[in-house]
Amino acid sequence: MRNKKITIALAGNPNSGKSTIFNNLTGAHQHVGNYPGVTVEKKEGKASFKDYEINVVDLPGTYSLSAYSEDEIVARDFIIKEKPDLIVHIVDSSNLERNLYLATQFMELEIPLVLAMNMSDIAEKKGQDMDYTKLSELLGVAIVPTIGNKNIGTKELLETITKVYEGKIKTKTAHISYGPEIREEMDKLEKIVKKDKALVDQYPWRWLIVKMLENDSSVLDIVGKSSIAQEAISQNEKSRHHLHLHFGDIPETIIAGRRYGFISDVCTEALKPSIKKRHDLSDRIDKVILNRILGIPIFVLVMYAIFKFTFTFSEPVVGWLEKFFEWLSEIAATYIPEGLFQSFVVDGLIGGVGGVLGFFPLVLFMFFAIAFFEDSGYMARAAFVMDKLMSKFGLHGKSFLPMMISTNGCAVPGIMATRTLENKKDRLITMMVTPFMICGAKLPIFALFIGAFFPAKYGANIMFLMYVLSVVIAFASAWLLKKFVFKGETAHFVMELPPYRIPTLKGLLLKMWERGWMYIRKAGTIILLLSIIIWAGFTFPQNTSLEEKGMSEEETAAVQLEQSYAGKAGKIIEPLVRPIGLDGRSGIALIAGIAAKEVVVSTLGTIYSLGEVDPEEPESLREKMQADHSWNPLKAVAFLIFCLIYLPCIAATAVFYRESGSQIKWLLFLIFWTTVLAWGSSFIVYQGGRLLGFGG
Amino acid sequence: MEKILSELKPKESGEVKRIYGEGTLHRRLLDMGIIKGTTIEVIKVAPLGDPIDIKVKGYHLSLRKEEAAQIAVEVR
Repeated sequence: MRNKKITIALAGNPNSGKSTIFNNLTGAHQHVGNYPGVTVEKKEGKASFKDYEINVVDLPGTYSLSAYSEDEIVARDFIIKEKPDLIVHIVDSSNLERNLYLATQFMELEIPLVLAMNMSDIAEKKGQDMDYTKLSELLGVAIVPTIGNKNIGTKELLETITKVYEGKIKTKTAHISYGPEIREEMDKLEKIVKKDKALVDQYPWRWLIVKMLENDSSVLDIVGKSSIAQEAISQNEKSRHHLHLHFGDIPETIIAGRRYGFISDVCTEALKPSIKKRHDLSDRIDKVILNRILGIPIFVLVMYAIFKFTFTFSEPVVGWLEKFFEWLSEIAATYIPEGLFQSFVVDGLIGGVGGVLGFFPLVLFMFFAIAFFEDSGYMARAAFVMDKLMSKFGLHGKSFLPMMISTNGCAVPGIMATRTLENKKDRLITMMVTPFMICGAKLPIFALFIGAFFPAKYGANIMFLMYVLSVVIAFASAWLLKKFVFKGETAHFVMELPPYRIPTLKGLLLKMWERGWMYIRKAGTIILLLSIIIWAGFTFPQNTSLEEKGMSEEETAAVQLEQSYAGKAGKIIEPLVRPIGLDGRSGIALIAGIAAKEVVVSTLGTIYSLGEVDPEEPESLREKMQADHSWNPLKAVAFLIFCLIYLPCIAATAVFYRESGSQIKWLLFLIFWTTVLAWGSSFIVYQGGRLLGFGG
Repeated sequence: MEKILSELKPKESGEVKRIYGEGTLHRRLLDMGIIKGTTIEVIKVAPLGDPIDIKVKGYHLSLRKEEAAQIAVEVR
């Protein structure tokens, strides 16, 4: 009987091997969600041990419990508000001092703490000889050495967790001595804070007063709402002022200094003296990877490798899926009588599901490749190498990858790749500019128009110019967003370069699956729903009288399209697209392009009464359009520029919505931004071109 | 001699004297172990000239020069 249920929080620095320990503890019994309102992932899993069912919550990796980033706030709020039964802090033993800094903050929270000294093998190799009993005594917490990637110490960790919970291992957490001056001020605050019983019942008092002295904004908010608000805040200001005068420095500096001082004393006592190795392997690898000359070529090579891996390996799988859905459509077409219901099943339902699943292999393969470079430690280097260039435009070194995945590839995995960015502002800007790249689905549109309206010898040059334009628009737009939308939100670049490590296959596969499943669950449903809505827009209202008039099937389709809701919408927007040289028919094609960009081509095919045109082989359509004198090269360029910039397809838009934290305001902003930018650019090109006498 | 961290060349090192400014950057630097008395060694400069890679408390940390300019160190 598993009758005892407990909840533990797994905490630790980034790169401490926390997810490996989480995987060891919970096996495949885990699920990923999001904390409400933020983009931070919430991972939970179940571990069974003896008669315990242990709910393990994997907190985001943090260096501290200050309110510096979304991650830190989420981790802190979980511990303070949900009050887990126990905190397991995963410590990277080979990077002891900075990792224990977080531990000193947990020690103030009055929640039982267990330290898992992870990567103890690497620490030993580095020549570190640790006396765990001594360390445990000095800190007053239970300690278990673990080696996550070899699954060593997992059982012992579970054993210790239950024993600490049952009180069989008794510990008395050490309190850091902040020195007499700070202690004196803490005493004053303690007296005031303890007057509010409800406050200290909800929050550990020691933590409250230390954080107050550290000028922590969210703790000051909490205290500011309590019954002792005025007294506490004014005493805190006095105390901070006094300490500032006394030390000649702000109190947070002194407090952090005392914490590190405490850790350094503990380490001196618990570590046996040993010979320190001079150079480790990581430093030697960095000599090449971060080399002045080789650094950037290596970066480009790695990014290209991720791109190549994603698209080369997913291609056959995408092909099988396409075949499968074609087969399914054929079956449906055979067994369901021709008519509206058949169209709904084949074009709406099967087409929609196929559309969702079509991206799935891409997302999976890409996340596998990204996870490999993340877990190995390269991604931080990528940011390091590219930061100077990217930060000029309000982007981050890691923003390069999403844009690269999108170019000739797909914006859906591209937007998802922004998960490698930690800072919210960097993520949002990157997500907004990624869809401007020329994705694989936009290529047929370019091929059709360039082929139809420009001599073959210029074709490659014009295409190249379009690529350049896409990059210019993406960077300019990032710069504008940084300047005007996210102004004042400075993101500091203080980033650890973790040691290189060999990723574990299990870890990579779990990460890949987790993020892939997130796509299906979160974005998949929206994409399906929207594809059905778009199908309905092009199908209704039905006009059954057409065939009787003796029109061919293709002509019927053309008339039907024009009379559908989408067709009427195309007519309505005609006055809007006139200034950029387009007419209602282009309007319809552009609306259809929101479903998926390559649909622009097949819709033009229907409009020109050619029936379904294969976007890959549009010869017949090209000839028709050449013969149509309402087109000219200038209009074609205006159309292409519009296609380049305007709203991403529904799949990318849905993924954007989910990845930006499901906030309507960012979705509306994306729609507004891309539409205005597309229209403005096309307008300038078309009207400017006319003034210069092009396109008569 | 007191210098600003961003002025240090690779292989030079110094002891942290002071961190200028207040707010989140200051806090972040403290959290990462950049506190008075700690030794910092500049390891590398990125290929494009910024950011820099420093070693502090036995691990590698990268900072933009702009951020490193907030840190005063005593060079021996």
